Order: sequence, then C-alpha cells, then structure tokens
Amino acid sequence: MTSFTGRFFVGPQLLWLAGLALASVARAEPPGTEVEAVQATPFHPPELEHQVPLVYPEAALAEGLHGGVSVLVDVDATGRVTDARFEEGPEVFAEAAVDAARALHFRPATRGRVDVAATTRVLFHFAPPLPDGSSPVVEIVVHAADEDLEDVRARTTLDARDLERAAGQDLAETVTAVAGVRMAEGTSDASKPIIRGQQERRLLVLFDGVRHESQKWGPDHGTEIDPFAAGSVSVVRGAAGARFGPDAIGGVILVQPPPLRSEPGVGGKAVAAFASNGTRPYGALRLDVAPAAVPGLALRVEGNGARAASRRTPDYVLGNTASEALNGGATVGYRWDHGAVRAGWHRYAFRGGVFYGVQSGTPEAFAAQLSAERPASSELWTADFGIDRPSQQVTHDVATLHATVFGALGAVDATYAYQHNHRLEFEQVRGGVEGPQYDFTLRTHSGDVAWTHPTAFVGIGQLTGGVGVQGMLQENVYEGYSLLPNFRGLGLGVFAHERLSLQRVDVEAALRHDTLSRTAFMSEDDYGLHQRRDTLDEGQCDFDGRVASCPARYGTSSGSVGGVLHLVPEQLDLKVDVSTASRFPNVDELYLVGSAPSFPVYGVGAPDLGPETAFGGSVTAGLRLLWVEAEASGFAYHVANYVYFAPELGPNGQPAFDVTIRGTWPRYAFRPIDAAVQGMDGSVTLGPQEVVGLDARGGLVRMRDAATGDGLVGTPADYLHLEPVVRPGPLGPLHENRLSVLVDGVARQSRVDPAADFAPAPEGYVLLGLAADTAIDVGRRREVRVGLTAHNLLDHAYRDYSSLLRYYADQPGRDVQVRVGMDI
Amino acid sequence: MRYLMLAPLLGLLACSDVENPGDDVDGHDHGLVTKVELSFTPDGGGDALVFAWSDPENDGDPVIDPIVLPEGDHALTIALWNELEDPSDDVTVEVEAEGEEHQLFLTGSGVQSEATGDNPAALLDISYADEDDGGLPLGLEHVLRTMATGERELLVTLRHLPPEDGTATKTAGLADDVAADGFGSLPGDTDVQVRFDLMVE
Repeated sequence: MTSFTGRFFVGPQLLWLAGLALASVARAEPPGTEVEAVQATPFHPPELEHQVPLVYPEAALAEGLHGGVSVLVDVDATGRVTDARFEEGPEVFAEAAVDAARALHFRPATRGRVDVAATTRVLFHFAPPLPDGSSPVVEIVVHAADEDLEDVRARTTLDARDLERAAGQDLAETVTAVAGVRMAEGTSDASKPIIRGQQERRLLVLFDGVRHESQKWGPDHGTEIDPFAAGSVSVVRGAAGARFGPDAIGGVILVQPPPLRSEPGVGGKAVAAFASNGTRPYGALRLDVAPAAVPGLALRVEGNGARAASRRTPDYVLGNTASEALNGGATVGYRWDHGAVRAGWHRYAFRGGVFYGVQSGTPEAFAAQLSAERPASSELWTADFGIDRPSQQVTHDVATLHATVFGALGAVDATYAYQHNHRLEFEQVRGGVEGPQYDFTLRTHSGDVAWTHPTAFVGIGQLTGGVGVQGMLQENVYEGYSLLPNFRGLGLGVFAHERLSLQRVDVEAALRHDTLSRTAFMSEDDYGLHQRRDTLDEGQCDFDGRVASCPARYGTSSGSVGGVLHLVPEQLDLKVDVSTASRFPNVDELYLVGSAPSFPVYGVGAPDLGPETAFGGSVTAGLRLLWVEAEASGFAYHVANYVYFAPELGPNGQPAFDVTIRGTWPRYAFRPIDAAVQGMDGSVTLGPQEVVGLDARGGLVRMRDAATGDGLVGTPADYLHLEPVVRPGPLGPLHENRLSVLVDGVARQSRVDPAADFAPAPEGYVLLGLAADTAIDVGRRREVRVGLTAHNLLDHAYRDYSSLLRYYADQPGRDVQVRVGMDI
Repeated sequence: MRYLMLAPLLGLLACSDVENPGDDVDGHDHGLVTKVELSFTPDGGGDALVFAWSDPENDGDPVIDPIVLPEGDHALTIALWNELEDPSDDVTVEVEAEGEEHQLFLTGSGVQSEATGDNPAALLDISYADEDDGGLPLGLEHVLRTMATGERELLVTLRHLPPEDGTATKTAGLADDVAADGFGSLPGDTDVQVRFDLMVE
C-alpha cells in the first residue's frame, strides 16, 4: 500500500489550458512487484516528485466533461518514466492523460534500500475550466487514491497476486488472508467466511457489484463464487449497511473481476495447482482479447476446474468428502468517449459428498459418538474421488449488464443482473429411491442505478458523492418434504453518500432506506403443520384450501458517519466510523419446521421476527514507516433483535422436546435477543523492505447475549498468525523470492457455556507450515510464478471450533500445495 | 462431471411454480416411515395383539399405543408404513428387499436381547428370528418369552446401513456393539427409533 500527499498549486500559471490536474499515486500492483498476503506492498513504490501541467482536451470542452483516468506508468531505477499506458476512464481524456504521465518524474521505488524499477498507477482527474478561464481551485492536497486507505472502516484488498497464491481454494478460504476473517467449514468440501464473528446471514458478498443471493441458511452451503473470476477481493470489516445495503452487519466482501483489456492484443492468465491432501488438481485459464480493428471493444473468456478426493486426517480418511467443481464465464465490453457498457455471464458449479460420519440420527447416538476416538466405520473409508450419498450439488449462474455514462453532470452507473441458484441435496435413502431429497431454485432479478455528481470544490476541499436506487425481485421454489416454503419478495432501497476531503481529514456520511415485501407460499400440509404446532396465527396467512399465502413487510433505515484523520501524512492515520446496519429475517428463520439436516434438533421458525439492527462503531489506526507497517482496528456494536437459534424452553423453563419417528429431539427455535459484540483485529509487518522480517495478523471477538451475559454459540476463537519471512534477493532468473514459516495459533473458545452447544469446544491448537514463492524470468518481459504452501506440516490432529466437522471428526491433516501461474 | 453439464442454465420468471407449492413429493422421496406396527402372536394360538406408534402427518405429534401383553411365549412381527403417501406405502417390503442394508434392534428397560446384553430387570427376552440374504440378522421377525410382569419401556430402532466407499457396513455382531457402546458406535443412520410403554400382566 502507498499513500501519497502532493500539493498542487494551480493558479495563474499560463501553461495550463485552464484544466486542473490532481495526480495521485495509487497502490502499486505491477508485474515485478512482490505482494504480501495481507498488505499490498512490502517494498516502497515510486513516489511522484512533482506534477506537470494537464491539458484539458478540446473535444471535451464543448460538453464540459468531468472524468478520472488511470494510467499505468513504468518507472525506471532513476525515477524516469519509460512507458505509460492508458488503463481506465473516459476515452476522451486518454491521450492527454498518457502525455502528462510520460512527463512525470518520480523518486524511484526501493526494495531493501536499493533503487529498483517498478510500475505504478497514476490517477488524473479532469475538470473543465471555469467561465472566467481560470481553474476551479487554488490549492489542493491529495491523498492516496487507494480505496483501502480511504475507507473509514478497516478495509483490506487482496490483489491478483494474493489470489493466485490461494489458487484452488474456495472464496472463504481465500479471504482468511485478511486479519479478522475466519472460515466456517462444513461437512462437505465447502466453506463460508466469518468476518468479525458474523457468518454469512450477516455478511454481504458482492460479485461485480451485484449482491450474491443464495440459500444462506445452510451450514454446509459454501459461498458460490469462484475466486478465479476475481481480479481483486476487498474485505470491509464492520457494519457497512448504509453504503452497501442490508445484511452488511459483520462486513462486506467485494469480489471484482479484473478490468477488461484496453490495449489491443491478447492477454490473460493461466494457473495450475495441485494439493496433496485429497490429491486435488486445479487448472484455470483466462483469455482477454481487444481486437485492434474495433477500438473500445474487449472480450473475455475464462474457465477453471478442480477435483478432490476424500480428505485425510492424520489418523483416518474423512469418508465421502470428495468434490468436483467447474466454473466459467464470458464477458464482452465496449467503451467510448462518454461511457462504457459490459455484459457478462458466470457459472459456478459444485458437487460434493457430505461426510459419512455425520451422525445426527438420534440425540443419544450423537452424544455418544462425541467421545469416540474415531468415527464408527472409519476403517472402511478410502480416499477416492467417488461422490456417494449423502451429497450436495449446486449451480449458480449470474448474468450481468453494466452501463456507465460520463457527462457534464457527473457519471451514471446502471446494472441489471439475473441470478439462478439451483441446489440439490441427496440423502442416504433406500435403493428404490432416485433423485434428490431437497431441491431449491432461487431466482433473483436485481437492478440498480447510481448517480455520482461531479467533484465539487468547496473552499480548500473537494466533495464527492451521489445517490442511488436499488431493486430486487426474488423467487424461491422448494420441492421436497417439509422444510421451507416457497416465497416471492420485492426489495427496494435508496441511498445517498457524500465525502468531503480536506487537507488533513476526510469526512464521509451515508444514509439509506430499504424495504422488503415478501410473501411465503405454503402447501396445505405445511400450513397444517404450523397450525398444529401453533407457530402461525390464523390471521397471518390467507388460506384458500390448497395454498396458504403469508405476506410480510419490513422497512429499515441505516446511516453512517465516519472520517479519516491524516495525523502524519503518509505515515499515520486514524479512522473512525459510527454506523447502523440492518438485516431482514430470512424465510427459514420465519417458517422452518423440521429436522435441521446437520444437527440432532427439531427446528422451528418464528413468523413474527422483525429486522435486526446493529448500531456501533470502529476505530482503526494505520502506520506506515520504513521499518514497520501496521493496522489495528477495534470495534463494538449492539444488535437489536438478533435472531438466535437456541433451545426452546417450555412454560416451566425446561427444554422442550419433540417426539419424532427418529427419536426424541430437543426443539430449537429462532428467537430475538439483544447481542453485544466487541473485538479487535489487525496486522503488522516488521521490516517490510528488509531481507528478513515478520508478518503477523490476528483477531479476537466477544459476542454475548446482552441480557444474560452468556457467550453466543458460534463466536470464533481468538487467533494469531505469525509468519517470519526471508526475502533473498534475485538468484539468477529467480526473482521476488520469498520463504516463510507459517505459525497459526487458535485458542480454545472458552467463553461459551458448553451446555448451550451440542459439544464442548475443542482444545486450542498451533499449526506449523511453510511457504515459498518465486518468479522465474523467462524472457520477453514474461515470468512464470511458482509457489508452494505446506499447511499443518507436522500432521497434527486437531478440531476447529468454527468447523461443523468438530462434532464428528478431526480436521484434515498435512496438505502441501504447489502452484504455477503465468500472465499471458 | 455429467451432473454439472446437465444442470439447467437459466430460468425465466415463471410465476406459477412459486405460488403452487406441491404436496407432491414424488421424486423427492426421503423413504420416510411414519408408522411402526408391532404384532405379537402367542405361541399357543389366538389373535395377534397389534400395537402401533403412528405420526401420520409427521409433525412430532404421534399416537402411541401402550403395549399390554399376557405372560407366555410370542412371535413378534414388525411392519413399517409411510402414511404420508396415499395409499400408505408399505415400507416393510422395501426393508426386506434391502435386508443387507438394514437391521432392527429391540432395546429399552423392559427388554433383554442381543442388543442390550444381560438385563435382569427386563420383562421380555427377545431373539432375532429372521435373516437377510447374507445370513445376518434383520429384525422384522423375533421370538420372545416373558420374564416377569410389570411396567417398563420397549425401544424399536431401525438402522439404515448403506455401503460406504464400496464396502458393506452391515457386519456380524452389530447388536453386540449396541449392547457395549450404544447406537453411536454403529455405522449408517437411524431411520426409526420409537419408544413404547410396555406392560406384561
């Protein structure tokens, strides 16, 4: 990461054709630059020494266009610009921006105090001259255009290099490279992210700006987004509802595809990887084409696939945990002077077995197997690729259409997307039965329009912001035995945000209002079930004798205020954020009736649940010195109406039970409580430019029922990741060499009453690993990146509190992954 | 991989399927059992005494007949039904056909069987009277003799034991495993576990 503060004197200099230049050096992300898993750059990128006049093109004068243009600039070891390439922004400003970029001069990049060549990104902002011919402002101090540094919350971006290091992993595992982010593993080869203690109901995942919509309620349902489709993944930790929409209570994950190719030619990326535990091959290919014959047109095709056999713990195979995945997509885009349009389609397809050892048969059997050393019949299990029942299968298709138009009145972004999520679950059934036992289809249309006004210059500051409208129409069709109803919902949201950037401080505010109108459709049988259990009142549904329609309507408002204080420009800043965020109850929380598939309980919904509202704040400090880079963030928030799945107590205060064909099961119900959440997370890099250094990151979360003080089940345990690292210099054709030892320590989750959970929390553990990376120069400015990561090198047997497996078996043991990647 | 290729690509916003949740569960059969019927036929002849555990709507509200037996030797036959289907589906036939993947166990405070080990307080001593195609006990048929009079409990458990990774999980001595380590030590899953009040007079 880099921050840059430059002071620009714009005044009577007559060299200007009455334009304004705001140039800032953004985070460097070029080839030839090593990138840490947590922070962007351990080496020091080039620094802009002085600006040059920016010529406002005549072609834009007639319409008075505003626009920001990013240019990739190659800077040699003396600080001179050797090449500049237009990257993104309105075409009309491209030539002027590239010309200006070539005339820039930098203080060269350094690695370990040695001047080196590097490539960096420069942003130019064009604004038309004022009527009197002068420029709009006298003096502007510009801060980094790095979104991570600009955000008033703790935000970290994993760029293309970080993502390549995680080749073959799913999205949740990939984002654990960010401080404060953990992973909830299931009993299938799929996992979900946990940000600051919150799992996916209370997280928002955006793919290409579109809310990811899926069956979020399943503990075994991994997030159906393919990390290879991303050029970067940004994680915002903390409540960000006012900015991004409902559900963003724990945080937001922004998965952004890489920008389409702008210079004519062919490019792309190829990655291959292999992991030892489960003999898992992975291959991915992306091709980007920008035909010279049609300037402005760009095409992309990509695909990847993976297979995995059943995983092994140190002592036995985890039977039936094999999986296969096949993802792909295509995008076509066209840009012209005043705008850009882009259409794309992505498919995610996954099929995986559910661990044979999941014993939710009866509560007594479940309790008995907790103390067993190994799962029953574990001697029979083999590590093969076959996927047997029980198993799950999901396809997720997203089709998106984006359009952006720049004008004198700012920029307008419009997006339409259609998502089709089809999930099938297959149980172990008697031989005569074929087909899935559960079949869910979720169809979502979404649209949003956002207007960003032209940057307004207010005294010595600049004001950016805009307003937007979002809409979503969603239908769920479920087939199978009683579990969930069908539903159709319409959601609408309006938001406004503004940011004022001054000399030493940026202040930001956002406001938002969301509504949801949803109707659940229940079959006669399911409606009868609810009636007999007294979980639905007569008046809540319209029953025509065959189908019950149960409408519900919710509305919430959220807001946020925050700021970034540049205490020591470029070196020390402090961010403060106070915000609210909301979440509408999900259909399973309202209407679930039945045996929860993964646990020995009978689950019951609560139709009267209302939206959850979180209110709180965070303070984040960032330090960037020559010998240390660090970020630490503390947060505290209160969630009203937090929907908690917990044992239901009868009128006498004793746990309620249900007598079913498969035994007597404790009844679990969704009920609202007030939750208090606090914690800290952060990361440190010692010696970022030295040959020897230390990386560390960690986090802790405390979640309690505010009324009783009891710890909430599912709060992740405290953890610390230490990584001593050696960065030897270039060795022949090998450059960007990096070797590190991975030490992961996870404490025992001691703050949750064991009686509130199905089993006591497992012991804490420490895992050792190794990572090595290099880039091999193969001539013609090409390199082949090779890496190796060994997890749990000592093959230690352990269980993890945030993994569903912990009730049944140990986590997988030693795993060595090798990967090869190349830009085409 | 072929499943991934055949999965549907796009869906149109077809209103009708959302608003018509089906009662039809064809093709999504869980192989559910909703009724367990125990028929006790006295060895000396006479009518069978039939007692049932039944939850016809599968909503956690079963009707359970208390078992009342006279002293003496009896033959016990167990029948399983799925009453959610119309007409009721006879699951007993399916379990019999897949005998090598199923086994029934009789346990409880009033029972002494292979699956309980010695139980001096038991009212009934029960033994398997049938076998699957592989010669292992199945448990749809039993013979029993009464040991004492009194009031206790009878627990009927149907265990589904499908092969895992191509190897059969149903082996000899599973009932002994239950006696020693409980049902948690068995492979597979529980399809039925129902409790009856038992009285011998």
